[in-house]
Amino acid sequence: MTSETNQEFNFYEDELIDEKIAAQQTAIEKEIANEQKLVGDLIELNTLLNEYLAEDTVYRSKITELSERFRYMRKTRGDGNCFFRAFAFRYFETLMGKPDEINKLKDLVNKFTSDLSQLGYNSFTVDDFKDVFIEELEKLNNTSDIRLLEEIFNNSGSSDYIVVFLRLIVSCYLQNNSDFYLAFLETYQSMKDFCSHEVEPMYRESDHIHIIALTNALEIPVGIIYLDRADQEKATPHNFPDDSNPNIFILYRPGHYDIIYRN
Amino acid sequence: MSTSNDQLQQSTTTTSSSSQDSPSSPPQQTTTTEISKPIRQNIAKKQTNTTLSTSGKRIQKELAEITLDPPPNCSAGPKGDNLYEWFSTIFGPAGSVYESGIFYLDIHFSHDYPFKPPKVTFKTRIYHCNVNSQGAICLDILKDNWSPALTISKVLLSICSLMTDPNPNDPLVGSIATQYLTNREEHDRIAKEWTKRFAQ
Amino acid sequence: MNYEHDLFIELNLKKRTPINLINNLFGRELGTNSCTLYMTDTFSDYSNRNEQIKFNLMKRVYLSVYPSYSVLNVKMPNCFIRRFSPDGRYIIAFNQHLNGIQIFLFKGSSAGLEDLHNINSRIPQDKTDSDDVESDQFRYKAFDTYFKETANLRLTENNELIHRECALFYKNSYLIVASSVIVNEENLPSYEQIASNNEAIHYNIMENYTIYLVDIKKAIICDKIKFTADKINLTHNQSLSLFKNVFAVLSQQNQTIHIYYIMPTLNQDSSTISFKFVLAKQIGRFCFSDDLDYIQRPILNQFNSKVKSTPYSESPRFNRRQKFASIPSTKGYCENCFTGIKQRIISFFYKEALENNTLSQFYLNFNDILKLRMYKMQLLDDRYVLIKYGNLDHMVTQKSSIIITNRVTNSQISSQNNPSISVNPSSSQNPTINLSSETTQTSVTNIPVVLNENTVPFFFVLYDTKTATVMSVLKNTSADMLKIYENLQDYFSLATLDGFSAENEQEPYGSSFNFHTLASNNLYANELLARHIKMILKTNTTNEMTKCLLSQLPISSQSYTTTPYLDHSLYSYDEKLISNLERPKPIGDQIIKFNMRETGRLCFRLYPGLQMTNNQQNPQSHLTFKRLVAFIWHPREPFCISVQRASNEYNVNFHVYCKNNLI
Repeated sequence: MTSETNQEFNFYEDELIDEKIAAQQTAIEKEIANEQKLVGDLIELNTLLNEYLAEDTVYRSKITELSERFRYMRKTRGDGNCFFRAFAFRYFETLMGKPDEINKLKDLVNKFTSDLSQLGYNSFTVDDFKDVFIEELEKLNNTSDIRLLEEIFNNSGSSDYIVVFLRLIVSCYLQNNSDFYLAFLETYQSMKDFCSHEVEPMYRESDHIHIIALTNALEIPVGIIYLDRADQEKATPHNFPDDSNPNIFILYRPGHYDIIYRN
Repeated sequence: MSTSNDQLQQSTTTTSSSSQDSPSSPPQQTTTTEISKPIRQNIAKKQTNTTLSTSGKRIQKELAEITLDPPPNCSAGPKGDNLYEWFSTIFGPAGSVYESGIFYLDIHFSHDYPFKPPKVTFKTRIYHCNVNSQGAICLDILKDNWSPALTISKVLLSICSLMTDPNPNDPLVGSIATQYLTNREEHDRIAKEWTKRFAQ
Repeated sequence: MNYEHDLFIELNLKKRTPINLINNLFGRELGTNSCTLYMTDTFSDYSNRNEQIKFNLMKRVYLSVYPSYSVLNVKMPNCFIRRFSPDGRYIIAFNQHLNGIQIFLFKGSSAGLEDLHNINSRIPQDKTDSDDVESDQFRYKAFDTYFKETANLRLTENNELIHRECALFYKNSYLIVASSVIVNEENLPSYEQIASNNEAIHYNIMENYTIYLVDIKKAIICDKIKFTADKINLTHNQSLSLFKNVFAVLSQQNQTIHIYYIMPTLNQDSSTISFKFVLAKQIGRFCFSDDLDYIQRPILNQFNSKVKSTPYSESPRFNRRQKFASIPSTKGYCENCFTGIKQRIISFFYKEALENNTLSQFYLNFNDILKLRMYKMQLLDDRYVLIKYGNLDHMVTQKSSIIITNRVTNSQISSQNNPSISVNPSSSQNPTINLSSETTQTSVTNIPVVLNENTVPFFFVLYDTKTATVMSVLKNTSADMLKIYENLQDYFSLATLDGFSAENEQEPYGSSFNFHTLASNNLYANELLARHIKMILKTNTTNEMTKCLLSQLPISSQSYTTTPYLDHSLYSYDEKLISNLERPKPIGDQIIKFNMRETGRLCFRLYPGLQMTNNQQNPQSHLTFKRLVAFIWHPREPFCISVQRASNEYNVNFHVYCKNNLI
């Protein structure tokens, strides 16, 4: 009798592992959320020094050097969406008060929306995301008040919707150009699989391929500055595309993206 | 292990109740599962009175869509006045072994919806290698592959197709999966018998 | 040329059917009784009903012979008199300690004739005269005159007490009674192990019940059924139902209906037959008796090499799941799936909503459907059961207090089944396993509530046990249900079909004396009902009236008495004071008059109270407060016992046949 109950017990434990994992994940996210806003305030790059110990000379020297070229930064929340959020914030920042540029982006958005429905995506939800995206975008038409932008991006509803939409754009672009990008995939057999596993779901971390696809899709160049322990004098920017002259800079430390501002 | 859940309950209740003071910023990362019932009902009430949060708005839209244009042989709706708790009915797909059965499902949306998947469980006993005896469903889009572009309608459709074509390569009940692969006739017979006994 | 005859024709007079005793006796014997209402259509569905009408007419004898003398304040032995057996030979009483029964033989309604003749020869009276010595003395001998004790049988063990208001007869000489004792909750295993399905209601006051099948003639216990840690509402046979040899028990706590067959069995000496309870099926978690076996049937372990090996199938997780996943939880309380009967009820509502295009309403009201719980039930025949469902919120009141327990609980159950634990609303019946060894709980005492059925909504569910389908669900405000009740009331009371038959089993529908005059089979009773409805409608809405009338359903087994003196076609009487539904009525010292229906003439009177004369009156009795009176009628003879209860005192009167018709 007891062995039977033990068996049942194990059975339950097994099935509830998934639930427990999910619960733990939520707990972790909650902790992170409590410490860091979705998009942080404008701070000096130097403050990063506080995160590294005195012995960590490589990092510290790189940071110090970097801060001479890039004085200010904003931190983003490390929830796996940081690249998209960082990019979106900075990009929207550059569009503030420029209705023409905003209209160009709107056209692009509409094009992708129709592409998505052609690919078979549920227009009901895609339109939902698009509507919010455009709605927030239009708020920036006539204003340069950065606080409005901060508010939009720290409101998880609107902020997350913008991120989702960007992810959909990436997914759409990759699927439409799958021939070219298929070669980059390692573990996935089809582009559709890759997109539905690694691009569309929230909290999935971004890789090279995400960055390339987004910059190409939106036709906006981006410069990523890699801050790591590689044995170099200073942190190096990689531009996407290579030959471009970007206005938007993202700081990359292993596992995380933040926004940085060139002087 | 268990106490963290309790702490989570306590901490979430405080954040949820405090965040209600600022209507412009909806509760951050709170999940309904941890909020106790009276507070949750309160939130639901407040949300219907003031502006709905993004999850609420999205669920409202999905409710309208699924009511007007439900997937075949499926229907769903909120149980009572809580928008985040739904109930769904699926008729056994024609041509499958679950034909002529009526299957009920519980759907729970979290406040992070649509960024987190809804929780769907079977409330009717079903003999299926991807559904265990507690009604938990092993479906990729309900776990890792959930995309915010998906809707509950799509989920129900996926469940319907899962019923027509079980996936024995990622089963929740290994014995049923093995039987499906090796003794299909017996599997189908038992599934039909279960449908007749438990899904009427 | 009959002068009288012509006169009759001229005056257009109708000849009255004689109520002469001799005439009626001959009529009964010969099957005449001057009436042509005897229908012989034995092939119709109502044939047994027509048989009843025939026998109804044979009851005309009872117009001449009736209990005209009331013996007041009879000196009774120390026991609780309950019921006569269906053939009237025995009367059952529960002994004063409520741990056994006493069986008395009824000597016949003519047993006291000689004494009564002596008493009444001087001044005829129709009740005890306290001034007359002999009349007064008869009170002390009355019981022994009419009854003789044949057995005193001890039934219970373990401090159980017999439930005073529960007694059912099977055939003529078998009795079903029940006893119970409150259980100390600390002595029990955890609730999850007691409750049999996830709809179980956790009442904090649980009892152990034993149901006995007693052979009255031989005074032995034939069989027993035990229920541990349960809650069965036994008042007035409520949760028990008997139809022929099908016996159903509703466990309100476990939300299960247990159906037993009473089967004959050979005694150990292989010469005599006894009866026992055989569990046939249980309706609750499962609907078919072999459902549980079917689920637990081990699935053949198909570990052959032909199986394609996937990365998953190599993992230890797969192996573990392989072995254990096929064994479902045997703890019904923890199960997530709907119980068998609930699934079927939901399907009924769903299909109805689908037809009427009210799906969104269905979902909106869904929480109420989830909260439905079995409240009462009755068998309609050996196959159909009528179950009354109420809302869980109404059935339980809660009194909460915080306690800290050290009990190791294996699972912490959420939501409505145990509202004491903080609610996990993710899904109403999903368990989360809590491995804590110490829990702080808000203890809620769940107390069962007797519902005011006139105000709360109920649902009637008609369930077919053979095919395990819910045939119909109707609300207690449904006009259809009311119509069914009005037209088929006697079918609900199981009068015509029940038939605990004569010993030789020849009669297909049992003793035809199992006939209650109810609104559906008797013109006068119907009129009474119509008047009653009209009166209710003066101050209430139609819905409220429907609820009020339908609160009678389901009808507990053997609730109606078959005595011919309460037959509406024979006698008219005040329904407020006495009725053929055996329930105590509030009566003061009022006299119950029985008038012959045909002529309107007063035939006899019953005196249920103490009937003090003026100089004996209690100084306080000017406040004639109403006390409850219960009547125990002999099924066919002119004999009745009325028991009046005032706080802890009982006052018993006999109403007996006395030759002189004193009115």
